[in-house]
Amino acid sequence: MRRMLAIPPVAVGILLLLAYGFGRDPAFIPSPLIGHKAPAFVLPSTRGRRVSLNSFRGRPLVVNFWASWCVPCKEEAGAFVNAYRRFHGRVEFVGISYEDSSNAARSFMKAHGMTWPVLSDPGQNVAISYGVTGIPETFFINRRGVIVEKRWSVDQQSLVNGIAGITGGSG
Amino acid sequence: MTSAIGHFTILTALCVGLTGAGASFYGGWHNRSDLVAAGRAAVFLVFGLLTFACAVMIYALVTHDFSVKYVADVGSRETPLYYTVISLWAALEGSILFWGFILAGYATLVIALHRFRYREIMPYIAGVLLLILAFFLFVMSGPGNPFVYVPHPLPDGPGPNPLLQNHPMMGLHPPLLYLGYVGLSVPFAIVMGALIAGDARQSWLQLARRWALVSWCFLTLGIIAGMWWSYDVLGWGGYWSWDPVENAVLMPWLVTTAFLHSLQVQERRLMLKTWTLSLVVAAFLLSIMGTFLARSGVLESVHSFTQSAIGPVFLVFLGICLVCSMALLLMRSQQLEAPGSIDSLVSRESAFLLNNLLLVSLTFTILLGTLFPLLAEATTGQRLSVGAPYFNRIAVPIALGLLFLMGVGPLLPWGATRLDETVRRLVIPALAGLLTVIVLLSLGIRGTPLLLVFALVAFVAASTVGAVVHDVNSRRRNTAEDFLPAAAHLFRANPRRYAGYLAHIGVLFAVVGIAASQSFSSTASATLNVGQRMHLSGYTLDLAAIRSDPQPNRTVVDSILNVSTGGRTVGSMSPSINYYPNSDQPVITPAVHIAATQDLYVVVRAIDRRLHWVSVQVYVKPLVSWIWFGGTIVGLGAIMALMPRRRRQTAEERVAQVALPEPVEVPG
Repeated sequence: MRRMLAIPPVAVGILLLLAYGFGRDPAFIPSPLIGHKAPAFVLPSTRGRRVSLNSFRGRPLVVNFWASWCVPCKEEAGAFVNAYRRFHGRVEFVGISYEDSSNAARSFMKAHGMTWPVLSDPGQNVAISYGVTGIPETFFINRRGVIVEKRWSVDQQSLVNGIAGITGGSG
Repeated sequence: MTSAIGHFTILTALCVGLTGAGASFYGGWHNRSDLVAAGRAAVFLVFGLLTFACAVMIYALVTHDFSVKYVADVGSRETPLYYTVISLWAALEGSILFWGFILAGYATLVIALHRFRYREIMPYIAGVLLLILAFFLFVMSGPGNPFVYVPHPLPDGPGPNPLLQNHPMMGLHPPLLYLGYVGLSVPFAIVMGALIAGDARQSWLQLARRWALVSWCFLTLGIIAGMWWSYDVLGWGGYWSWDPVENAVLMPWLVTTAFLHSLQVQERRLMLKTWTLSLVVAAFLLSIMGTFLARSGVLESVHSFTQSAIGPVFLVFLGICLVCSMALLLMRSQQLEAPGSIDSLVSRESAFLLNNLLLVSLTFTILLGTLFPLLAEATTGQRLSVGAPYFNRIAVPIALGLLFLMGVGPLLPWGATRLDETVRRLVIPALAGLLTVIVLLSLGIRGTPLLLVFALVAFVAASTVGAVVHDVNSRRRNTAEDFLPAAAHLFRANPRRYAGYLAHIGVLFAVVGIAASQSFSSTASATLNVGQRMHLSGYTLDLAAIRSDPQPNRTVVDSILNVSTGGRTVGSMSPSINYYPNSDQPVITPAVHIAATQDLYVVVRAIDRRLHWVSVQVYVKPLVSWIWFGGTIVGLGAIMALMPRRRRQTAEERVAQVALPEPVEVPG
């Protein structure tokens, strides 16, 4: 019977472990890029200009990988449009389209009122250098070009929080 | 209106359930037959109310009443009727409702069938079942309410998850598993009821055994149906991936298997009572934990329901059940002290004991592997996942040990050993194993684990058949019957033993199927234009056409392949990619040609938008159908074990009559 007394601590341990699981996202994988310089890129925008990471130097930057065929991208587009209206001038926004045609990307941007530059990424080389595993993914890069945070699909609040992290204030 | 009716029904059932539980416990304690009868009536009433609530939900689903949030989440006007009805269990809230309905059904059956035989403990059994029901009703009344009202309903909904409306098996696999999972509440309630009543007799253990067997049978069939679904739907060519939720079903199954075996030692030798009861409790707790794992979003799994607030509620319930059952077991431990002891290391009871240790170790290592990602993250902050290599490395040696015991066990006598007799009976099975190894080696098959598996399978098959022949011949010596009538008499006298052997044979089929399909599969992939062909393992596949077939709820793009082998036509196979309007992720559906010796499994990996070419992957997988066949045989064994047998004294009754120094094997 004394052996049975070993069960309660084990059981309590398991319960505590399960309780620890709440509030964490099991699909979350931390990015090794956090705290490091954002990988550089020079890409053509949907309007035909060439845009480089260097051109944003000295300003906080939000980089969003998305595609017109991705459902969560549609869901978060509204949050981006609102955030762009609110933070434009203090924070730069750039979208990088992922495995998408320029036409589809342009009509998606028009439908959702996205006015910030969206770049096409032939061969997904930039997505690979950012370690994108699935879209949408959003990177928050500070003035010094260091990635501060990475998120999967964002909503209004997490976008505001992420931006606060790179501007050093609530915005 | 519908949601109001549904919600009101749930709230009423919750009140009835709680009142009934109180009446049952109080009535049982104070011998108040009126209150006990009220408790029984409460069980029936809760069942009636939950049946009505399920009917209301199905009505809402079928009539596309999108003012009920659950219907708005999983319903769609385009979904065929069959999938609309079974979407009752396609998402979280509906599945809880269905769960409660099944539990209430079980409770009603238990009370209706046994109320006169187990008068002393029945009130407590009813009370425990009503409390479990009340918990599920509480979940349904608040955090997991299936009848939430939508004030401004949309004209149409998204329909169920495409994967859940892609195969008719969705109508079978979840209900079977629920029947198994929920059924574990019944033996738990019986054990709790008996412990509360302080009933130290033996007979209620038989009752627990029967109900454990019922849910074990459903669990077995549910697991097999799930494996089949995974194989036939997901298109990865496999049937088991050690997904956390698969593990969550496997663990109670293993523990219940251990219980069904340890119970025999308990009956014969009056040993292991606390252990046996702990297994019943553990199986129930594991079933609740499994429900929690599937519904809390704590672990990553293909089975995860959407994250919800019911996780913490389930965890609290799990904690309460754990504390109460442990406390009861400890309080009653004096009564459960085992008078028996093991006389010989080489005996049937020690084989059963070892079997139990292996099954429980296997369960524990699976539990550890399942929870390890959480543990690692909690202690080191590192994210990691535990995959098939860990589980296979642990499970294969233990499974080999269990196979060995399955062969030795039936040949060992209870109690003291007659070693020479046992060794003599082991000769033929051992030779069968050896012969199998020689034949396989001469066929060019290598690899120690694989040869060991097949040798053990032959060993167990020979020893099982040998045990039956031995029993029949012993009877024939006394009765001068022919072989078949003697076998039939033996079976009628002791269906449990022979049903157990039948289940063992079923396990052997499944083991052969798993070993062969894991070891000897071959695969090839190719991109084919219409009119082109590919070859694999003697099969020739001609791509005859690619067809697009718009259906109400989806568009099916079929690739029609004519298959032949050795100049003989096998038939036409059409693996497809299905496009559902509510999902951007196309669902691939493999085509499987099932045969006794090997399956041909074709899956489309990519398809040309203009329907000119497809990329297909083809697998040839030997003996996969043996797994389904074996699993069904195991289920059949469980059903046969439920058949009533001729009355035979239990060890306890014998001890009560005459103090026998050694329980004697009663032939038949």
